[in-house]
Amino acid sequence: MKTFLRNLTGGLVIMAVAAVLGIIHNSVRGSSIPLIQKVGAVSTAGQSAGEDEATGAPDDTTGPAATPTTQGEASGGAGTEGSATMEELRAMMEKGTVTIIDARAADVYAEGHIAGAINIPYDRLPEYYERLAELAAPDAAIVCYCFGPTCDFSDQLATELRIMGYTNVRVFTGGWEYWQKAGYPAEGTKVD
Amino acid sequence: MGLLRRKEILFFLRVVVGAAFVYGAYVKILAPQKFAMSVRSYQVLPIALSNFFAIAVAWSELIAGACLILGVFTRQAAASLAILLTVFIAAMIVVLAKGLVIDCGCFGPEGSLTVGWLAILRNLVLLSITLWVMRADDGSVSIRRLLPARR
Repeated sequence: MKTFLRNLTGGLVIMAVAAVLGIIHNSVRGSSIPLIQKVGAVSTAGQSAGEDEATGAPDDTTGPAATPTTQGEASGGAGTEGSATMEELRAMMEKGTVTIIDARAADVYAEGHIAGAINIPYDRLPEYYERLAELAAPDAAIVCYCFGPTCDFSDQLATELRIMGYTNVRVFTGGWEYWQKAGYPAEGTKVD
Repeated sequence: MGLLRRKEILFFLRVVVGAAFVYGAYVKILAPQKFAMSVRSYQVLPIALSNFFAIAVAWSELIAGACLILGVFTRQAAASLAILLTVFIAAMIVVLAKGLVIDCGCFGPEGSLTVGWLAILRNLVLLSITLWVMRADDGSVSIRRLLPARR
């Protein structure tokens, strides 16, 4: 037992030395990453979808989703949260000024998604790193969505996009569920 | 099991496990942003710590894996990997409990495994090997033995 604990302590020492070497390497390499990641998590899951559930009528004047905040603030953390309502998304689509990202898995995306949306499945996000890096201009409007108000894939994706330096990222909390219910433009194998 | 046979098996397992960790570390060190992304996808650590954790884990895997292959501080290196594997298994159990479906990020984004029982089983096998090395390695197969003895 004593030997076991001594080896464990030795193991921790190796890890500490390795961490120091890693920090030194990170500080001298070209593509270093900040040791402390300052961008705060996006958290909109469970918020109002910007729609009256009882009537199904779009309502872009009430609820937290109707008051998007400014994103990408240098402060990080507080004030980085932002969501887009269905009507805002529709308006941006009509103007052609938005990149829409579906964060769901590829098979459900193929069945049906918001017209013009591209698919970056959250479950395999690192595979899409290069594609995300070249997605749009850093200040371009990007809206992420997933299944519906309780799904947080889009929040996670929005957080990663902000970490990558995109400053105008929002989440459409209603997601595919509300978009489909509203009968707005959609594409996919199971879309009429 | 004869002494020589046991030694050979132990050495073989050391090299296989060490090489797996060195390869995994190489991929992670090459693209730390992607590995940090994988770390965040587990939703276990605060985002602020994800980059530091990614760097520390990747380099621990590299150094401990190399030590395991070379037979330098073998038992301590095996202990490092056992600690890492225990953390990985715990994180995977949390991910399963949360119902998240994510890539494990074990060997970088390509050719990885979804977090699930198979990934946990793989880590348990690796953990058993590292614990065996911690217990059984006697330092008889190591690079030190190949170097001329100091007088």
